[in-house]
Amino acid sequence: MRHLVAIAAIAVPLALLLATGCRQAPGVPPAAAPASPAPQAPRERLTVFAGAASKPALEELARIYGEKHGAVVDITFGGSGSMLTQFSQEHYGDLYVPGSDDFMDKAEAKEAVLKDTRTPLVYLVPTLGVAKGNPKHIKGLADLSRPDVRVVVGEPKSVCLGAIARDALQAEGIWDEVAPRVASYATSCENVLQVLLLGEADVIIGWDVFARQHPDKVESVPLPAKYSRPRNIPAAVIKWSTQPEAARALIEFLAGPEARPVWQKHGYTTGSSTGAAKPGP
Amino acid sequence: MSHALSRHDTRAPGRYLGLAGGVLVAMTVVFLLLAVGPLLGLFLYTPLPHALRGMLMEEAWQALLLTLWTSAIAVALAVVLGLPAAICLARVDFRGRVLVNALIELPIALPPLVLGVALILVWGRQGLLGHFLSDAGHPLSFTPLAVVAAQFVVASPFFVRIAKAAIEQVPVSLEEASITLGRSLPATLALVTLPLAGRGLLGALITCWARAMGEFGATILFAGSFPGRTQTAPTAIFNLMQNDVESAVGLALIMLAFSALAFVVAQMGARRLTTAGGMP
Repeated sequence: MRHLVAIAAIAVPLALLLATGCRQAPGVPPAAAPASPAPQAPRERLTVFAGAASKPALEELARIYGEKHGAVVDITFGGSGSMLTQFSQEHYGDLYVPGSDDFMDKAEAKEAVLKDTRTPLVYLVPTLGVAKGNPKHIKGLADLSRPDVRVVVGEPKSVCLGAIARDALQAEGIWDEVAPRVASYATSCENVLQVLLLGEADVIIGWDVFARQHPDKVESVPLPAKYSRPRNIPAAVIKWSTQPEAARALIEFLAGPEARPVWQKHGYTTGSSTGAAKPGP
Repeated sequence: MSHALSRHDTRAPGRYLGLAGGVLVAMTVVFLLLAVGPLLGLFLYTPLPHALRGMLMEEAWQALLLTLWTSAIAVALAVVLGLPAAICLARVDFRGRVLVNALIELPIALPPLVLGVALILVWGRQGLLGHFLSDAGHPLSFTPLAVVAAQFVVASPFFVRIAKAAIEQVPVSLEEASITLGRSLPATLALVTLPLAGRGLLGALITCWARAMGEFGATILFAGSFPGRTQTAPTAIFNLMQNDVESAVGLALIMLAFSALAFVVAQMGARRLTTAGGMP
């Protein structure tokens, strides 16, 4: 019996390892350029610090850009505030793609990015997020004060959605009521979504893309226009980048026509802030 | 006979029988349900196809391989640097021994995030000592070596603590006998003390390695979470949790399998060490 457990514990991981063994060697720094006609220059490596709000599209776009230019785009995701602290403390990185302009403003105030490279990529609209079917019948911000409603918002100091939530609730005059009852403060924009997906909250203050990315699980309840001003996902070159030209080129790609269909596929709104280009299905 | 103890084999430790044994077993079951039970939830949460998809993702294996080699180096360092410290604390009577002991245990009491902040401030690119490395063109933060550093700082105190306890269990009289019979101190250490402490040392090694493999807080702060570069299995699971819970669970299940493998191997090794004629 003991031996059976031992054999199973060895055999199962081994089998899985062998099943994926044919893939390219993982975890090793790229020694050679890919088979495509690669430039003579050594492979470019760009480092991106990104807020989690743009994750699904940015990952795909980084891959596309990398294949196209024989470059490697390394992205680390997290709360926009934590990302800002990390790269400005370490004086390291090429691109900053926070979840909102508020954090880009902070980055500019800290002189951590090159102001003239700041470019809006796509737009997000804040809305209330509820489980599909809206079981608690949430209709607006006032419902957040109900005792039977579990509310989760982002951490106001480090997550853009958190700051938006706080500002909206303060303007409605119910922040002091709701804040102590908030079930938890999410650590990033995607964490806000995650909490709703896991059923830890009845309502979140999140982005419109959440419902588009998870149409079977999430529904949006619109906020009044004064609270649902579209927010940019901006990008800028980090001041301490050792490859500012390459970084600028990446931003141009992310903001450009080739990237647009990828953003839209993931539910983001491209174009002007009046929503000229609607997201795809 | 209502002996609570059974000693059929006088060389083996006593075995508890009857009511005492039964109560202990029941309490063990409760402990298992509460402490280990949630792991079962992982298996029940996600449908197998999703979990398998998560397990087969290239990022998952990249992360796992990185975790394996970085933790191996971190543990090797912990042993090379920590074993002499453990022997020292167990056997050498020096002034400030209590203080040194407390200092070594300190990282265990701190949240790894705090250790991560400390690493950034001291060894980061702008850090107290790190800026020398950075100026010389060999920065530490956001590199795989940063992962090793984070794992080492968090996990090595565990090795020292358990190794020290294991060495303390070896009767000094046996070491004295060995020296009286002509062996030098280093030879005594190598041939008498360490083998006798073998089982405990193995436990120290396994605990240290498990802790290094599971390290998250210090790693994500000091090394970031760049896939293929510094993303370990724990930071990959965290990353996947952002928008793909099923794949995150898939990777978690792989970690479970590997850890189970490690412990089984360790148990078999420990059994061999015990029956090799050492003390039980």
